[in-house]
Amino acid sequence: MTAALPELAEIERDALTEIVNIGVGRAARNLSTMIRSPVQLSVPRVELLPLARAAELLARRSGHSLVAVSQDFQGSFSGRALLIFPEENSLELVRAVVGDGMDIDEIIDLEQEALAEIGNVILNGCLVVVANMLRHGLSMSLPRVVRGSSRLVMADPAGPADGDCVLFLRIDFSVAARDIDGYIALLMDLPSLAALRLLIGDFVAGIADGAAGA
Amino acid sequence: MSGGDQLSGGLALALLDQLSGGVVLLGADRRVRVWNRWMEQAARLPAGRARGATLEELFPAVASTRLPGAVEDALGTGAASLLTHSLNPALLPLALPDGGPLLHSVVVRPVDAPGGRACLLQVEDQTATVLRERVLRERGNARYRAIVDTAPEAIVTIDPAGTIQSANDAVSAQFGYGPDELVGRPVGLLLADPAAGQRAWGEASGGPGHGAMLELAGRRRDGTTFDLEVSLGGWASQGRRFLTAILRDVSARKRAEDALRRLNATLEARVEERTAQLRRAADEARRAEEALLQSQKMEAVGQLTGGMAHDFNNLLQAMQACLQLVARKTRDLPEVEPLLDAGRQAVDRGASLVSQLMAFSRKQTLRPKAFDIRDALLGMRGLLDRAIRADIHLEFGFGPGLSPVLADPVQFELAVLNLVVNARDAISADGRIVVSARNRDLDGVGPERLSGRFVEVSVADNGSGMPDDVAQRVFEPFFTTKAVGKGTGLGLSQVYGFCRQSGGTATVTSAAGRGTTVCLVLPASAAAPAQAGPALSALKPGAGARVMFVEDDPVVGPIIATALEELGYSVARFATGEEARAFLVAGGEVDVLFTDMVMPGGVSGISLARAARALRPELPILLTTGYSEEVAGAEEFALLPKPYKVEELSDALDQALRGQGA
Repeated sequence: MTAALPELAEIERDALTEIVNIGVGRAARNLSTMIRSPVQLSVPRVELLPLARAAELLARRSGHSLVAVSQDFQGSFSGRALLIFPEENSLELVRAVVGDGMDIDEIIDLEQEALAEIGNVILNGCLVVVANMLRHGLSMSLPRVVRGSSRLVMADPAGPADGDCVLFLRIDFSVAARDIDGYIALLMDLPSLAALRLLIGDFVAGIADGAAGA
Repeated sequence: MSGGDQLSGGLALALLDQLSGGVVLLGADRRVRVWNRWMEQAARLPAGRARGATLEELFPAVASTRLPGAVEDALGTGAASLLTHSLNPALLPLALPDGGPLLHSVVVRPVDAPGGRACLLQVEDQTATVLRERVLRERGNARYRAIVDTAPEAIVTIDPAGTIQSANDAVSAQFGYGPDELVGRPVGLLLADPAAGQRAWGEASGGPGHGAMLELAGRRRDGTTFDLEVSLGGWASQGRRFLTAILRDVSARKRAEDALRRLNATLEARVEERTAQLRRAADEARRAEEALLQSQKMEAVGQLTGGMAHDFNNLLQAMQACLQLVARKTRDLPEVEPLLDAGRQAVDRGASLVSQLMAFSRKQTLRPKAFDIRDALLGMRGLLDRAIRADIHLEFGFGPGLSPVLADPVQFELAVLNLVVNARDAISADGRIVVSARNRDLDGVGPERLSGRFVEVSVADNGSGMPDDVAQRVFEPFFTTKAVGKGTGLGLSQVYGFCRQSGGTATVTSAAGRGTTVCLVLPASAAAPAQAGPALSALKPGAGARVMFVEDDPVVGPIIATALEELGYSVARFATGEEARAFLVAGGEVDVLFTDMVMPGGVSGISLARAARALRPELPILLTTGYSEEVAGAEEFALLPKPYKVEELSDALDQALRGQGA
């Protein structure tokens, strides 16, 4: 399983990191528009990990109580995108987005849908940019919120498949003077990963051509 | 178009109009293709006008929302978006039939139809849900806030990360932060040791029952810390866990507890101390009682002695005068002289004894005058040498520039003699007594608060000394360490009485085995010491002056009268004040009035003197008494204390006659 997982070449990793950063940059703009307050999002580094390893890493870094916004995507590569936080940060994230004036009970009441929308904005931002950059359409489902352990939030409803892998990205939020860490995980099967790598390869070649052309 | 026509023309459109939610379909050109009836009503916009327009054209405010971006993502990429009422309030200008705002969420989805991709907007009415939630929340909150906002304790709700999610009004009084300032901040902000607090928090929140009581140190906004008692209770809301912490300032209680603990810890010591205090108080009371008894005893002794002294003085006076007369009559019989001397010495010792008795009853007549201490002490040398033993060495030491003192020189000499004798008795063999004098400038010293220039005369011995408890009592009358018959116990009390009466004091320092030093502190005199006057004059001839002599004592009267006549005076003697006054009133001829002060009958010596002064202001008056209490109030008259020598009487009369009395 682990051995079967291909390594990302440095250039592929850089290209993905770049693409995802453009995506979260767009998501940050959308969030800023929505809440009328500056939002900064950044993704320092992309890692490619087997599903089990990603779940283990997540548990170690963020504890066992997690909340995730999940969206399925389908196209030339398919899978599931997750925005994951330690559950204890989620109220803070919601409060950061809706403002301090709100009562804790109100925040609890709207936490679920607010998280769903925040996740939706961020995941759409990433996936749309990835899809546009790679010039391949993706259809994306509406978001849903999942709570539980890393294993649970990452579990494929269709059951774990050998060789499933995760593009695992840490994401830093800076909203309303708060810094909140979370993760973006793109869960794919190996064929989807292969397709993605292919698209990335084309993208890199395109940039090289463009550079040579210029 | 054909796909849309098929839909709009058929059942599908009728169905859309029946939906209880808004349905808007945008074509790839972003223009409205479908606008259902719900939308017509909510937006007050007929489908006929909506169709063919873009959302931005219909609702310009939409441009600044996330909606156009979501439409782009749906059409361009195929992404679905959720725009919630919570994060996108008033996304579209929709209203309820009654005109109130229609709260809504919008879901944006791509629709891939045969004619190309379109974008579906579903608008959901959230008004009822939001209002119901709000009502429920407010109903629940009203009760909660009524309790929480009026509580004197700070109450904060904390999420599992330790972030404060709500705080009541009491936090501002207790911590100095406003409730809104605390929301979103870590609870460690309120604790002196945030790390320890956070740990305690974690244990409490994870523990069974999710409740705990912690004692922590709180920290106010200004950095001051205080004792905090924290009650933690866990609760869950919609699957989320929270802790509610009630933070109580218990510094006052802590202080009380600490005080109590300290009190308990020192209970034994305090009981002992209190017992000792009570014992000391009891001792004090006993000493006070003893002192009272002592003073009552002294008062009685004083009255007794005073009375006796008067009579004794009269007897001595008579004897002295007798001896004087005998001496004059036997001037030619030298063999009588030693007998007379012995008689005179006996009278002197009697006078001295009376004087001592008067001294400790503090009723002696002091005749203070300025004198030189050095002269007085050196003059006593012979006397002192005889008083001590051959194995004792007597030394004198004088400080420079000794001031003269103002005191009764006779009493002073008696006091020094007394001290030297005591010192002698304290030395068993081969000792040393040092008599020294020096000036001392005092400034409110001792219990008597003495201030000014004094001369301190000390008598120090290297004898056996006294333990402290004895040294403290040596000035008490009748206190003696000597064997019965060896001393009266009056000596040091006389010394003390003399010093106090002179305006000074006496102190004693002693330690067993290390000798004793007694200091007499006497006021310095501003006046120069009187020159040792010429020896009492040879008897002055009375020159026939007429003396009016009033004396009730049947012994003294005749003898003094005889002595006066021997001196050449002409004497008119009276035994009572009444007789004397009558004589004056009657115009009896007289040159000087000499009267005893204490006499039986209605007219005392003073009354008589005052009457005489009133009758004959120019008449010289001389008073005499052996009883000093009477002296007070008679300061205007010249006074000759008893017992007096005939020569002294002659001098005093002479001075009175020459107008030098008083």
